[in-house]
Amino acid sequence: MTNYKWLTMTLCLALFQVGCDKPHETAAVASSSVANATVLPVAPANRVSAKPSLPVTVVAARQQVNVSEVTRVDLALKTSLSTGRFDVRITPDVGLVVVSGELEQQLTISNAEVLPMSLELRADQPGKYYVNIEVVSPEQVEGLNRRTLAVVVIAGRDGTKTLSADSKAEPKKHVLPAQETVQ
Amino acid sequence: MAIKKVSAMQFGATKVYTQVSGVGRWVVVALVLTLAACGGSGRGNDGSVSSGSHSSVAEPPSSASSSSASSISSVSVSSDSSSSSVLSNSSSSFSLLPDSVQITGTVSYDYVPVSKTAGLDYAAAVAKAVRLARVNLVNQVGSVIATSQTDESGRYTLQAPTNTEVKVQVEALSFADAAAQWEVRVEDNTAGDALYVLEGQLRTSGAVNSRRDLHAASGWTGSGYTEPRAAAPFAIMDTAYQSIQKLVDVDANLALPPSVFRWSVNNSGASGDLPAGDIGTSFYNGEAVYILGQEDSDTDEYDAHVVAHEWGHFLEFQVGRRADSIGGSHQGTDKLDMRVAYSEGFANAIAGYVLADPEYRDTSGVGQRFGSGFDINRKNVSNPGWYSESSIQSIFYHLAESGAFAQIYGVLSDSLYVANSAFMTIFSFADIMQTRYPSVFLRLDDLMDEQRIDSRDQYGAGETNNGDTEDVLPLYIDVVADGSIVTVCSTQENGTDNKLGVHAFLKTTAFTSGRYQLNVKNNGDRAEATDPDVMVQRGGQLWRGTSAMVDQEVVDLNLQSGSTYVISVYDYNTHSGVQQADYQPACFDVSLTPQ
Repeated sequence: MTNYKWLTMTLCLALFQVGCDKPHETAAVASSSVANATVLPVAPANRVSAKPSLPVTVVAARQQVNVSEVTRVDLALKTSLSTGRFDVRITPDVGLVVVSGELEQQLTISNAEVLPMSLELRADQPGKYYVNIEVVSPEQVEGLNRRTLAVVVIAGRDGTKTLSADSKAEPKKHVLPAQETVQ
Repeated sequence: MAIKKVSAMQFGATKVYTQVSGVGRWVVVALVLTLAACGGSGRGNDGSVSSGSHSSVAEPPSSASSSSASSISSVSVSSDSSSSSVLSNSSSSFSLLPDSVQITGTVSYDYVPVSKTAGLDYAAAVAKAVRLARVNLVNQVGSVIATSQTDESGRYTLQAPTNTEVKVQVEALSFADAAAQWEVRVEDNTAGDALYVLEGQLRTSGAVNSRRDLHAASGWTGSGYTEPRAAAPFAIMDTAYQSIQKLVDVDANLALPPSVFRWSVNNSGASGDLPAGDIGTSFYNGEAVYILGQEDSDTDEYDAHVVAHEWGHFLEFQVGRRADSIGGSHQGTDKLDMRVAYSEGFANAIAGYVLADPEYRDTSGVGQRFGSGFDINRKNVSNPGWYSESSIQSIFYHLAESGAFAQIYGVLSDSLYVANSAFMTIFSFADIMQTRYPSVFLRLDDLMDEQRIDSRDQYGAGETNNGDTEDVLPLYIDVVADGSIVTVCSTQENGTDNKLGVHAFLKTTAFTSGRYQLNVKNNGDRAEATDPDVMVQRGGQLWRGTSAMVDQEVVDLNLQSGSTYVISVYDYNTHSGVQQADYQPACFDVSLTPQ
């Protein structure tokens, strides 16, 4: 149950909302013998001003699976819209084998509830993978009707190591090559 | 036999070599002029020779200039008669070497326009100037040996030592340090916030002036980004440059903190790890603007409206010196918390105004082929009101377009703005505008009327538009700091988090300075458990009470006599049954008691 304490915090980050300082219990659903991915904690990011977008987020932004083990990855979406539908296109990274599930789905929105969606995946190599999710609201004629999201899937323990920024002690430069004309 | 001259200058010494054509090997024929060894003699900055020694292979030409008559530092026969920096004597075949040459050139980047009907239009890409960027001359060991800056056309001039291996490096750092002072920098958040730089190749500077034009390509080769995306940081930088020029237009003495942007090809729609690129979306967090960059998913470097929108938040935060928005997901049709509506509408309007393009577009998808957007200029919006970012953007955009951008900036930078005791909303903005710029306020007044916003008071007194949401008016409930109880409600009928009605607002003025206890308690109207949280603010200062305590929140405060404090109260828990007819919001008894 401890893992689910972080589920809401994950959502908090995705929404960039305020008041997400504390974990709350949230239930998860398992419908078969396939194991569920473990939802990983995500530090909250409060008071962040994001670009305008279609109001949809993923519920579990970071999840962990065992290497070579078929696992259900939760791709559920949450929206503040009360009606309509989402056309969803899912693109897992190379290295994630889709065992079961549809990569293109239509989700009917009902009273701003969570929209369940999942894939059964297998990663044969440890590492960090992305499941990209493109959401389109085809019935929305006003404003922004698209959003791209992603769920991070960490396969194995090594992949859980968080990348960290290099020391800022010395200024560094990221060199980009120029097309150069010399006279 | 022709002799070509090559020379290399190091600081404090000039080495001159000659090459004998046909033999194919270098022969050192001239001397090392070491300033220290020569009693401080050497060349001046104008290339003249004040003293020194002479070549071992030739006598100085008698026809040389007076300053060089007794001291020749090089001997050569140059095949390049166009040389302007080398004093030559064709009859004697002798020349003077300058100690430096000019390297000039232009710097440009691929600007990929956004189609108003689809995504990025790579076929219509054009080269644009990299403006006011720092340009460095870097030697073989990576040291910067000269620095300059591009002009408005991307032109630069660098002084280089002659015949030295150097490369030109252009920083994704644009700046002004004259009357107006500002800086834009674009960093890679996935590489320790390293500054992006565009670099040419190491080449000899030669003995004559030369030209090196540098271009940052998009990296798009027809079906994908198969080459480095060198243009991206400079595209972001140029949008910021455009934005800042609008400020310079109205404030010649602008002094702006650095505008820091962080972009990476790894910046994706995943959340939770900024240094890894998992930024979720493009956003501003008070420190920097993070910009998406993941190909075939969502890239924003050419989405100028997105970049300018986020820079608008920077402007609000850095010039206004307060930003009361609680952030969160938002779009034009939402009914929003009044602080969010104000901040996001302001940022949208800034984007439309500084880009002189009110049609906001945001591209995404495979091949960056898709896009959607909205019209900032539109007045006939859905759900108009003080809670609509569409209404706020329309107000600010039309006010700016009417010629009042200077007054908008004036309000933002006014001492009343940061000192304003109410939460920063369209109401407080209007209140300050009315005080400072009464004539412009009349235009604002009309625009607010068009958006069904009634009140001009910072606390929204007299507002009648409730957005079809119960319990949101009056905007602020007075709570007396004597322990008496008032009741406010938090409804999620417009959505959670940052939507209209989630936060209820109160205000209080302490009679005496001292410790007070703010108590927020579920009054029992909603049967399900609640988790009340509070924020207390005075001007730009904020205190929060966000414990996980069920049905209650308690915050101890030190209040100052005579100061007005504003308070927001909300239920952290997500409500079920919101769409049902018998939905019951969470209502709380609030008291403020002297301790």
